[in-house]
Amino acid sequence: MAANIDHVVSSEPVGPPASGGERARRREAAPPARKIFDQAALQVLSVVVFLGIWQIAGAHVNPILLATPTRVWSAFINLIQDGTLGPAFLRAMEVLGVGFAIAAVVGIAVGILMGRSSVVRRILNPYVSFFQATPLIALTPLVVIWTGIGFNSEVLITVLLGVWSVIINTEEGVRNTPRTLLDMARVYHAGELSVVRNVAVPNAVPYIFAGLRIALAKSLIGVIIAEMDVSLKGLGGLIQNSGDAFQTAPLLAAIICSSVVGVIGTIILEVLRRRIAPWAVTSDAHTKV
Amino acid sequence: MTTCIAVRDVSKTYERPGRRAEAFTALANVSLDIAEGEFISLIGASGCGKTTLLRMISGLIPASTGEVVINGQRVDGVPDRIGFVFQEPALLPWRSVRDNLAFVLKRKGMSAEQVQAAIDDKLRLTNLQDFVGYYPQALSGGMQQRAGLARALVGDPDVLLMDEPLSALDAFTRRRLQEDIAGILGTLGTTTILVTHDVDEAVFFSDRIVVMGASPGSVREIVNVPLGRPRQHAEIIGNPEAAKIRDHVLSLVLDIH
Repeated sequence: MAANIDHVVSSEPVGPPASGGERARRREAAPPARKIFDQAALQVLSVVVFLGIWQIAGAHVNPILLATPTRVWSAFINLIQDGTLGPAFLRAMEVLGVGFAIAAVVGIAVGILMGRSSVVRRILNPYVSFFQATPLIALTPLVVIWTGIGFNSEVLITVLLGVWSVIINTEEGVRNTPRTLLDMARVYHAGELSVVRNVAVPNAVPYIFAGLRIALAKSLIGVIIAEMDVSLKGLGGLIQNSGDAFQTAPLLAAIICSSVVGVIGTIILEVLRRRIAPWAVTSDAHTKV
Repeated sequence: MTTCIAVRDVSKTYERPGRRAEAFTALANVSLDIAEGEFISLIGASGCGKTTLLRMISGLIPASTGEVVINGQRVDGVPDRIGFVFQEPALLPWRSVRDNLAFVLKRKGMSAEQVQAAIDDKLRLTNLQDFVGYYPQALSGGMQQRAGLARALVGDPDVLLMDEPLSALDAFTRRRLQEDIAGILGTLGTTTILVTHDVDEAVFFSDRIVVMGASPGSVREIVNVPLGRPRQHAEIIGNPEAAKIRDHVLSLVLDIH
């Protein structure tokens, strides 16, 4: 047996880290402190400049058209203090959370089925393509007729908007399982369930997360529009009512709040991805809208 | 010596539905007997059907006519106790080396201790015992192929099939791995079929070299290599008998008369 071993690429096992310490050791030597400071300073500076421009522009324009950052901030404080914003924010997060979770579970399950079975794919494809192409917001009145106005109908709208991206991207990921890995599984007599669990789904994870990111954005649209058009509750309701009353400051405050909901959702998703699939290199090339 | 693998008049034709072109014959009437413990290489230019033949023996693709019999059992789908080393390592990137080997042993009804023992044994054999917990991305190409070999052997297969396992490696790693593999198979005595396009590799490993030709794929000649196994590169270099065999096989493959 040859004495010298082939060159090892990295000196530590790469994979789900057992502890934060391991993860920290694996990180390359941190860039010099000055560089980090420079990058952060640049970002802070650009935000300050943006706010400055906004403030100046807002001061010279009809206040109905554009509220200045200072006025938006006071509206924001007011809305918190009078108890409007807190519950609205929480409700939006709730609807998004439940709706998105349902869309994710249903979407991944259907996507796997369609990816593994050409029969299922051929049966469901027309429907998936149809709904993918439809401006799903147009379904809102139909949903209201079915489930009325309230939490359930908002969740249903959220699900309907998000699920198709998950299905399509999951199917793509499962179908793109490398032929060699499938052959390997066949040679070693892996059953269908084992292939799905150990080969197809792990391979599809980058695609699934790409689909989930898109679904999150679409679901959030569903939440806000459902609230704007249907229940007039929550953030959407706040947006609609402020808009109707030409109160631009609370309007902008509510819009910014909706973005925060989306950002929080995206961060949670990213944290989940890193824990579930640290090996996955996500790239936008996987994305199917 | 008992015949382990009997290839009986096997052909493979690919239909072309809807096309006016005739069906494509990848292999025509190939027959071959492989004894237990033998090491056979299939060699030939592209299109000669060597990989097709290997995949038919493995049961991954069915023969159009004829049959393959392994240890008395007709091959219909993948038979039990086959080890296959692919050209790319085909390791699951999301599992450690240990878990990649365990994947093969799942359906065998072995206890956890037995599984661990089998894995440790084969990792020691392939000199990977220090890399049990490593993930494939952390290993070099040569080590990944060692892991692929360990996985192929961990279930104690009757037959080992290898499809150009070393062709993606650099020349030095390849030669070092060749000696390691020859040593391992010398110890285990597993009946082995190797598909390769490298004549030197075929001469290094084989008891017999099956030279195949294309259009349609068929056996041109079977060349004996009566040198003792396992071999070392040091013995082959400068060995006149090995050189003669090599030249003969090369001229067959290149169609030089």
